Amino acid sequence: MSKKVQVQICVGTACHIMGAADLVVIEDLLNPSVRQKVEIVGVTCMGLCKDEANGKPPFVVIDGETLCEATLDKVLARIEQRARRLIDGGAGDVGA
Amino acid sequence: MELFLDISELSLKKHGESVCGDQVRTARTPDKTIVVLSDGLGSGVKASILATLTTEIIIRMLKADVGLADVVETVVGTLPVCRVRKIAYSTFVVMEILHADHSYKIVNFDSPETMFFRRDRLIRPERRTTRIHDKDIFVSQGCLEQGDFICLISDGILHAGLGVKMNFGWGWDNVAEHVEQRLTDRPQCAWEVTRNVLAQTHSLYGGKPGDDASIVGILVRRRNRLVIFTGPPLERATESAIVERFLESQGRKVVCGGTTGNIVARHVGGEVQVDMKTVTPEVPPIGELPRVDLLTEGIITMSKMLELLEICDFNAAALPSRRDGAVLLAREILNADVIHFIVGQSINEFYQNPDLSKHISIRKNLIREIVFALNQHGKEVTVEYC
Repeated sequence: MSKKVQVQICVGTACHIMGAADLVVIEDLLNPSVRQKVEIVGVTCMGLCKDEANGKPPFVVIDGETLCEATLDKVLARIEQRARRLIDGGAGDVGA
Repeated sequence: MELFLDISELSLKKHGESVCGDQVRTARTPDKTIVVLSDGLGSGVKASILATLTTEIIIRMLKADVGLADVVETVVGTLPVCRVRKIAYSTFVVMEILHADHSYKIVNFDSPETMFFRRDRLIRPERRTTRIHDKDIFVSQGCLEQGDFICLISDGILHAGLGVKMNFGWGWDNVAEHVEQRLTDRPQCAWEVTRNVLAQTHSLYGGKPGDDASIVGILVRRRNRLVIFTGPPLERATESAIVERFLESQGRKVVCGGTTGNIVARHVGGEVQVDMKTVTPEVPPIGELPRVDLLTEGIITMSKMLELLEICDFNAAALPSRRDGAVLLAREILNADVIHFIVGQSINEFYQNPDLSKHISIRKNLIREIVFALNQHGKEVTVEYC
């Protein structure tokens, strides 16, 4: 199975209120060539909001890297960057 | 067998009147359930007052454990009589059911005969006639079984269509046949049948009822139980025992809360699978977990669920058809008769953050609100905090 960019959107209470619901359309907004290289899932509260050091919700974890105050633009940019590296064969630095 | 009496009462008021001259009261005590339907002579305010007096007196006396025969004697003896028509100002039918052995007694004073259905077929239990104060009182008694359906009706149902769509009105036999047909559709709740009969009554009257019309449906069915686990317990050490007890409990099982879901997932050795198709701007998505019938987010979903219950007036059929956590949770709750909440009191500090636009900090208060509303609507609710 070919490697994919793993995207976890936290759908916990705090993340939902702070905007996670807006992020569910991400898959539709991805460039088709990128989309097949990305796997997006929702996850229940990861507890990231409990530690201020993680920043503020909503949280999205992309290949193990935590994005705080996640917005569509921010998450899209990060996914595309990761996916491009995979497509271009430079997958060495991708992963948790 | 644990039987539950699912009771639904619906009335139509005579066209042009401001109140219904029929009155229905139900009361449940630990030992018995009492249902009274009274039809005040005529219509409007006077009929309503007479019927209200009748039902209230009967209910209060029966709740005070006065024997049914004494109650009927008192009420029949004191009901005022119309000087012109020489008939009592109100008629009534009372059904009393004892919880211990599910035995019932139906006492009827001048009301249409109560309809009794067993295994979807109309049966006519034997009726004894006794005379009290020179008036005929019909009494029938027996034992209820699972699946029985009993219909108490006022004569406004029988007269539906009189002179509009039918020469002699809908009539007892036709109404009974109509109910029988509805029962073959295996209704989940009594309301499905009463709503249908009343809609038909309204239609036969051409939308302008010529009389007050009431129906009380009593469906004898198995008691539906539901357990809702919401919020992580205060003590981590107790988690395992609580989850085990939750999973072993009778009835359907619902988890409200992502963190609570994660706790349960750890114990069942699974992982929460979030169904992103169910997310809406207002309600977070639901998840799936082995041995759990429904897993939703906590505070937002439960608040929205309470809102939905109030909007749809606690009728499952009036809930929106969309599939989100709040609708599914409301459906679980409306389908249950007995609900137990296991409420963890551990607090997520971030919920008190001023950046959050909504007030989500106090789970306990929300649970109190939900419990109050459910109690008001006949649900048996218990709560334990952990």
